[in-house]
Amino acid sequence: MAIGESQLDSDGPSTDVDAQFGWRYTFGKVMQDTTARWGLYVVAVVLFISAYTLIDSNLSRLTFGAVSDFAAAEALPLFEHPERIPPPGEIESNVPPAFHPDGTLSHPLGTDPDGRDYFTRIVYGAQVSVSVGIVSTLIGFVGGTIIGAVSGYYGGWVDDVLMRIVETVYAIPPLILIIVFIVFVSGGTPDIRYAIVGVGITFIPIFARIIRSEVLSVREMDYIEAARASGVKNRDIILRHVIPNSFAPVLVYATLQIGVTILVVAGLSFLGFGAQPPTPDWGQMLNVSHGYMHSNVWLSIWPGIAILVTIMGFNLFGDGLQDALDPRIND
Amino acid sequence: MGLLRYTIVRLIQAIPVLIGITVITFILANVAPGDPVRLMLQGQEVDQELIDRIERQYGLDRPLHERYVAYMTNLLQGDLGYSIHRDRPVTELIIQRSGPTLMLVLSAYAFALATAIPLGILAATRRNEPADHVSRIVALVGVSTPSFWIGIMLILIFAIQLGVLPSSGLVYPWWGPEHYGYSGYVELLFQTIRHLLLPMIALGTLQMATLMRVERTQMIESLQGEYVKLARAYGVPERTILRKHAFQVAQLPIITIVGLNLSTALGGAVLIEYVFNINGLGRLLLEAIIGLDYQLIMGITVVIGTMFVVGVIITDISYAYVDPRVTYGDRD
Repeated sequence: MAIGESQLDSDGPSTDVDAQFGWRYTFGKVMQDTTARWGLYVVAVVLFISAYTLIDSNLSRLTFGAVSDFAAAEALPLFEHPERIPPPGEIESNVPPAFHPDGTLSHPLGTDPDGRDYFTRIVYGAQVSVSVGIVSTLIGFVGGTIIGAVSGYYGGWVDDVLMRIVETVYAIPPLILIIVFIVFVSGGTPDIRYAIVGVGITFIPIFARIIRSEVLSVREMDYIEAARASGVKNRDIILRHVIPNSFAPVLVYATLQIGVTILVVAGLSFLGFGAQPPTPDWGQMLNVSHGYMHSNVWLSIWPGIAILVTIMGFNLFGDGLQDALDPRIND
Repeated sequence: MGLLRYTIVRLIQAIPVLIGITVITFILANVAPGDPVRLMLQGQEVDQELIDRIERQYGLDRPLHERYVAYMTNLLQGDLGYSIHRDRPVTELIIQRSGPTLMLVLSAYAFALATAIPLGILAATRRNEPADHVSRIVALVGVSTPSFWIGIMLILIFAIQLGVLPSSGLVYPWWGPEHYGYSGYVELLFQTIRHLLLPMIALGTLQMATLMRVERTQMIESLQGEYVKLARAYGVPERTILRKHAFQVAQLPIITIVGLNLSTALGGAVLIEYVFNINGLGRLLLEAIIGLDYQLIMGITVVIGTMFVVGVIITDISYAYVDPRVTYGDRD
């Protein structure tokens, strides 16, 4: 075993250098691709906004206690409080956006029916969409990687059973499975946490399938044979050799999947199964604005554009990453 | 192996998946925290005797596996349970609401295929020209835009601003012109299309975008095939090559994608039915959820899952029928 380990270790450093070079090379290729670069910029901006608002709202919470304490609202440096409904008379409700003759520059995108600044709510909406998108994708990614790797590595009945389960989950349209999951598990009181877990679990099969097909070829490699011959435990082989070597395609897929996840979560929130009011969330804002389609057109426009731009950013970046990692697709 | 045997094999292979769908739905419905009966009654003041009676009526006092066997026995006889809120059998409700959903999903596919195939071919034959770039942008926006928001925008533009198309509901041609007070079948057809147009585009855009990109890639690959080179060498006109040689081969993967995407389309139908007030399965599901109508929620999930499985089988069979190279009976 000692010999086997040291052999593998002596292989280690050189592949590490390769891998580092590989990552830098990949990043360079992504940056060369104009559309992918723009995708990365959008992703970076959205991530920055989410991080900023997250710190912002939590700082005021830490300093001033609960968010429901509306005295804290004044502590937010750049924005108004996204959830605070101003008392009547303070801010007009349903103010149109700034370019409209009745609009004001202090509310560039207007105010919502409760008199809250719409721009602030759109900005804060990024936080929910992005964090939910990333956390859910991570759940699907980790769960799928484990199931796919175990299934592909062991083969036989383990593979059969796991893949039948995966196929079955796959057979129920994701949105419907997630809704049913949220309703039954939450006992009829939906909440964003159930949505995150539900979306994550539903996407496990997709990731499991991709990593399994990678593992099927990695499994036959000489270094796996060598590790097995030198007595390395199956669990260690999976964790240290199989998974790291089947990683790249799943990572690309995960980037593209974040876009899909944000899309699904927006749909869930739109139907009322995601973030609950007063949390600012794009999908949920579209649900509210649905009732004002005749009078306040702009309420339906901005959240949709925010969703569109965010998802487009992730998709462009993911496409670029895919092209950079897989030269066969280049045309 | 013949096509008929292949069909039978595919149907048999689907049985474990169909059973799996019922198991998943059943488990989800029964791991729910809290007492389902109390949840259904939603906090109304009722005495214990009534709760016991409802529990007995639904067999909730028996162990889980017994309940599952009972559920499956009924399901195999076409009985999906009973909706207390609507006081009607679940099967009857689902059959009634399936028509609009199927009409919506199928028309969305018709729209997607009718636009994606010509645009995909155009992009493939004019690679890196403006037409290709436009198709790339359309595809990118198509996969990045929530279908329900497209629906909302379409309503804002065509129903509210221009006032040319209706913003809600569908006309069901199977009810006949008399039901709607239309003058005849021509008007019925016209009204059906008029009502279907916006929801169809909203639901079909995502499918269109994905199919268009696949069509483009397939056509590019197909145009580089040996058979195309041979045809060119023989002096076959480019139009004929496109239509007869390259096109037919390129369509095969499209069939598979259509089958797999049915899953997103059926899920998207829930959103589109909500936006456009269409009385289909998706809205029935949302209504059932508001009333926590357990048996109805389970029934709809099982039926939609089955629709997807059947759809995939149909596309698999048509793939095998179209492509002579397919060796029937290959798994995966």
